[in-house]
Amino acid sequence: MHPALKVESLSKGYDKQIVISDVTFSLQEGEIGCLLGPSGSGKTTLLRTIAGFEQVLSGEIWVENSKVVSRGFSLPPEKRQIGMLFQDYSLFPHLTVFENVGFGLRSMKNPQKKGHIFDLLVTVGLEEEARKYPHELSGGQQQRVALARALAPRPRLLLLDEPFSNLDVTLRERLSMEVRDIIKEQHTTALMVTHNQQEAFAIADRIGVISEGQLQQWDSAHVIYHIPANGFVAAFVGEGALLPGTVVDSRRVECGLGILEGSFTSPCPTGCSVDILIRPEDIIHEDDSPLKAMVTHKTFRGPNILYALCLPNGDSVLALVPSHHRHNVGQKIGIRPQVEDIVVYTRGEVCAGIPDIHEGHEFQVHC
Amino acid sequence: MPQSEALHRRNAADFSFFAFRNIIHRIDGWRVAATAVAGLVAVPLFVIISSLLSPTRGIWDHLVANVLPGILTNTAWLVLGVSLGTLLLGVSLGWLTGACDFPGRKTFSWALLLPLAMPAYVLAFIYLGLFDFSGPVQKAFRTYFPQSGFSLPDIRSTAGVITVMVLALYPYVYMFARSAFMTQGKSSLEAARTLGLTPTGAFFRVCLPMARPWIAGGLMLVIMETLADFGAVSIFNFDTFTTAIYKAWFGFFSITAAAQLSSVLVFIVFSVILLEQLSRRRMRYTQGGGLGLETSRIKLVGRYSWGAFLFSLSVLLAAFVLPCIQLLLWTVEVFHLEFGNRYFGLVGKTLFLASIAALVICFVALVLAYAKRRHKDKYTFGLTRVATLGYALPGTILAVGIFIPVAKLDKVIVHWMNALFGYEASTILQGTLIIVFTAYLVRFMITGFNPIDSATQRITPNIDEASRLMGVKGFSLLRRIHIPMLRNGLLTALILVFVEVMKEMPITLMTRPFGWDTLAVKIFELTSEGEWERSALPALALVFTGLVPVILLMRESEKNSSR
Repeated sequence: MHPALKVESLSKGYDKQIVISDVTFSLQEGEIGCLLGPSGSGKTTLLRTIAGFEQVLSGEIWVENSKVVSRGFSLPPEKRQIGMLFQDYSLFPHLTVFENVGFGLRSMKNPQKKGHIFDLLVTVGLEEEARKYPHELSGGQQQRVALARALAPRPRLLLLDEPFSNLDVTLRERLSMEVRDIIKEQHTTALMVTHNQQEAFAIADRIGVISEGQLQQWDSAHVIYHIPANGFVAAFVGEGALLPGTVVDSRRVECGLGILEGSFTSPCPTGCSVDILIRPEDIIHEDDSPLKAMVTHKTFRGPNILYALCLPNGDSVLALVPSHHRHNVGQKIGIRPQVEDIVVYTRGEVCAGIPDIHEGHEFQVHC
Repeated sequence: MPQSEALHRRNAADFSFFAFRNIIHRIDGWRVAATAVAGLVAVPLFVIISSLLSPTRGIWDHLVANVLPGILTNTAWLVLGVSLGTLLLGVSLGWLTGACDFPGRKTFSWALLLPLAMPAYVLAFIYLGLFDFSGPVQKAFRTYFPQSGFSLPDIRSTAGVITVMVLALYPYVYMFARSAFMTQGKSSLEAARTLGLTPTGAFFRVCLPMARPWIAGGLMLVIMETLADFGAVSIFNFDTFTTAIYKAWFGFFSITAAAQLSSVLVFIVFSVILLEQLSRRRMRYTQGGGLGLETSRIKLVGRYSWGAFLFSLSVLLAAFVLPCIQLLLWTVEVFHLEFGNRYFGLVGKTLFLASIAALVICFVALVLAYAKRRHKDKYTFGLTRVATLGYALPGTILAVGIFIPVAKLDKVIVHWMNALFGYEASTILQGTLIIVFTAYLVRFMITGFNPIDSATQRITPNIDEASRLMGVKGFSLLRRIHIPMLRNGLLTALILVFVEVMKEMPITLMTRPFGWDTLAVKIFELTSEGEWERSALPALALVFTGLVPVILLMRESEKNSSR
């Protein structure tokens, strides 16, 4: 069976500057994919290339069993049968909600068309607002109209460009669940672009992490978080620290936390210098543990507190501790590492100069 | 219950005290000044409208039988033709330069605004001079095709006036349409395409409908200018309301007939304004995403790109470049005859009137703007609206509407002067510059008010409070904060009013004291005798000064589009 979307060795650039380089991935029918990356990483350009608004340098794009982009060929956007949900929704202000949703249904005959539009409005819960104009709706409602409009012609693929970035934080989470349910209910294949990992985790079956035009990893949320393919993914998704260490044998590695035992995510020869990814939840707080670390910084998070800790050898880790364990900066607390799969990167593979993207937490710090 | 009674009485006393304080608070200098200006504007309106309500039987019957049918038909054709023409040119050029890309696009996008510098009456006499039976074009045609039996269409026709007015006024529609297409955001166009429309389909089904309120706004300006135009139609001897008003007053010496004609025109003008307000209301809801089409302009290729280039070029040539060249040629021809003391006299009087008017109007506009800033209530806002309503009144109407009350006031003053001091005079206010300046003030108040108002809006109350916290207040606040922040707005206002007054024709023509001829008045006199060449020198001066506000406008739109 053909995948619903297949992107192969896609590259794109503007005046000598490469924006997308050699991107390959595919989505199965009914799957929701998500391109996650910092701003300027090329993820929106990639989306617009799939929609047909940008031309490529090389590579191919397939939607279901038809080729929409290949060398010297690009199907115009209106012929691709791809729906798009725009960041600013781009509802047509001169048309009612009903007319907006029906806009892409020109070939459909009237009684059937009306029924189809109404069904969709019921799906997104806006059947009451059918006669209103976009400016009379709230931001969340506008977005659902835009979704219904994009879904109405039953596109082969739905693209979503930062769909929740215009909504306030409280609305965002609820709406992203709603949107996921609607897309799943319509059995539509979808690809979303976002810079917000919570959104990606909530919606996507597959996540692609993009940086500087390159697809760093294309996997499920679980794998992306727990076995990040490289240092950039490790740094961009979730929190944590990279500890320098040395491989002792095929299951053990020595670092500032002592000797850690478990299975390595990638094989490393004995004696090799590595960086080990330690997530905050990998550090357990135990008062009577022999290993003590000093609190250098704390952030209250409600159910728990994120502590930045200084290990005896001067390396630094993050620990997520239930918030009734209150310690002050400067205090020494007992900790115990709990890792089964050890994420290791051989030294040098870690990207140099990881951007400071985690609310001011340095990724690899010495105290 | 004496206690409660006392309480009640005290409350009543308090209440009346507060009411009194409230009134005192309401009557402050700013408001009084704003009320006075609004009143001044309301007087001519009131005079004109009241003459509609109390028609003088004989005159009204004569007008209905002999004058109105002709000028109503003429006006209808003119408005219809100019609207269609400006829509066609304005929208197509706006789309080409706003959303597409073709060679020369950047240059055309500002150059197509240049015709704004040329008053319609200047373009009118140039076209007459060029295409008249004895003009160079017809002569050449007869020389090269002596027995073709075919003759070029007569320029002195309805179509001729319409063509000239379209060329002079299309920039209004162009400007609005272009900015609408540029701001509506590329994603609307893209959204339409993901929903299966071709670029052309998307233009007609999405872009054009979305730009409709803006285009309508530009069109309303065109219609108002068309209705108010006096110079161009009188050069073509094409009778409309404005020329009929002029003739009624200065030909038949019937100010009553002039007033009654004016009242009909006011009625038409205010209907147009009402439509404009409605279209504006819709505009608010159609704001685009602001992404702009800059990155995804539609690239025109092959014959489309050449077509776009040639089309823009021919409009620019016809509306600005060729007329300018003709003006220059004529000027060279008559320069040694016309350039002299009499010309300097004209220029001097024009500059004097324009600069005094600019100073007075901007001062009053500043007072209005501060009143609006001080009192953010409906009443004051309403006052500023009334005070700036005069732009809607065609100059001919204003001249009539101000002359009538001044003449009445004059009678009273003369009577009292005679009775009290035995001072004998037939007129005191009439025949002075006071009437001219009053009419200018009413007509061009909005020209000065808009830039000053937007500058004062920028001085938010927070700015005042912030500087007060730092110990800067009173005169020092004015000097260190307000004046620097207002400087550009004031300067723009001064320039705009100055140029408008310079180009103004009917008010000056109808209300000026004897001997106060301006460049525009001179053009009227020369063109009514068919002296096209001799009109060129004063016209050239007007076009040059007219370029200044156009350049300001271009810079403004440059700033907006680069944002």
